[in-house]
Amino acid sequence: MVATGVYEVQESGLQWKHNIQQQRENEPGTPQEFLDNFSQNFEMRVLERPSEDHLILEFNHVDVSFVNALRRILLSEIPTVAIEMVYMWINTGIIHDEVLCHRLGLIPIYFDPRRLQSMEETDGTAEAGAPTDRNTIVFRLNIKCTAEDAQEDKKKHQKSAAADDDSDDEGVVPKSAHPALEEATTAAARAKAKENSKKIPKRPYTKHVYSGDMEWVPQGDQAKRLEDTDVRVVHDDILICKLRPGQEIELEAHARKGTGKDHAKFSPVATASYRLCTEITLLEPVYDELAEELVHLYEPGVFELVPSDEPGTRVEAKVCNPYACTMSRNYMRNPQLAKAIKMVRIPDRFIFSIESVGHYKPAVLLGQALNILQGKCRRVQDLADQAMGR
Amino acid sequence: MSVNEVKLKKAPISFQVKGTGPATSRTFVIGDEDHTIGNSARHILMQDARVAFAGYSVPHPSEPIMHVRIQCKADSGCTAMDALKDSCQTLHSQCDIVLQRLEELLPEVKEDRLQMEKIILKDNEFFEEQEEEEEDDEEILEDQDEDADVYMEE
Repeated sequence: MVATGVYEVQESGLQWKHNIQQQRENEPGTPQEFLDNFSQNFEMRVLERPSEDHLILEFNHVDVSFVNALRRILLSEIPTVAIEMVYMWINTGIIHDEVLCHRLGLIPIYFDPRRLQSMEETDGTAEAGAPTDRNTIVFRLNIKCTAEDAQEDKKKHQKSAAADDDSDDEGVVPKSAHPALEEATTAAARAKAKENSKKIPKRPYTKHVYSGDMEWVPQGDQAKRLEDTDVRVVHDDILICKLRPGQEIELEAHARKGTGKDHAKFSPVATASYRLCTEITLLEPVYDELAEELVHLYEPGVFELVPSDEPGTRVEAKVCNPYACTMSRNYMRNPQLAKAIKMVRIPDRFIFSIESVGHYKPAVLLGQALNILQGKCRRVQDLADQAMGR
Repeated sequence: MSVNEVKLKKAPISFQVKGTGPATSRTFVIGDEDHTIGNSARHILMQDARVAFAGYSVPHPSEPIMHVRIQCKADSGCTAMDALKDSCQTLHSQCDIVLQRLEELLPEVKEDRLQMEKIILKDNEFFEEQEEEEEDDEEILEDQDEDADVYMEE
């Protein structure tokens, strides 16, 4: 179903511009007609993949309610596994118990939630809500910062200080005649002093506790069932806390399945968002200085300079990438450009961006979101059937 | 369980039909649903020629309840319930179409689905084996009890 109009971009806000011809074509019909129409018009393609966890798609000819439903599900209804209960025996570090537990909860865990039961499901043997080996993953964190660690660290620094001959001037700031040069030299000297201070053995030794220090402890039949799976944290270089010599942490963390609705730590996306596509047309040709201003200053990335065919002019601006448009409306500052450019937002063309935290790949997340939406439809249908049956 | 554990509450009503009069106009009260399915279902209902009026609302953001109001045209011969069920079915099929295109576009989705099916099969087999072992253990225990009874009689 093609949109029945466009949003014209004006200096403040958008103006809906109706297309009566399209509305007449979009007359409501039977559900089958809607599906055929959708199947014919719907387009989807990959725009960009900035990294393995980030996917940008383009949807065309789909309604905003559907795209918004997918976004809402991605954010809050796809289950993942995260630490929920922490049993703490020793915590002599400076981070408070509850703050430490909060940080542990936020650490993403690389375990497929579809292999784990949720806490509400009963197994027949256990009561609902009790931790079993079918619904809980257990991690242990045993870290001690000992005096020996500090000693080793001291020895390491002494070795590197002896090997390095440049560390004579520890923080001495050289003076200079010219004030601007002096500023530059003081900044550089400060940086060097900082570098040197790191090598001084007097700097207190802190042991950093990273998320990779947590170990998985298989429970019950998990050792056999999950012997070929990798149960770990997604990123093992997340800093949990720092310990000084004599401080210790010993705790057991239980991870379970949950959804973003319950707590944001369960959300599988860093964020999922969509925006409408813009369509930019040049009503009048833009040449030379104005073109250069447009390309470099006003909307970078959207326009490009091409050699112009018009005699007496050098270069012309042409639209090359409307997806880079940020709707800053900067070009309207220049009255000539404000007349020459027409920007329009198309209400059924979306740029959908999914950034995954790392549990799933972003494409897989979208597939899951669609499955969950189907599950919701089924649920409403079943509820309606039950109500009818009564 | 701990004292301060928070459990997600379920809505008190999961489905209720409100409205008297001809069956072409009804308000459906659906619990544990929100704008996610409300807006999508409303849009699909609007594309249905038999529906004269379709709207949804979330009466209060703190309560997970959603109302859908459907009024069908008098001469269309379809009831509000039919329209609701058809719209859910259409949304389901729409998701199927999008899933199909997604799998064509990005093969990793299909690979993940097939892999997951295999893993879940394996897990289910593992659980069945476990249950069989437990049943065997129970049988052995029963035999022991029988022996105990005999002992007691003597």
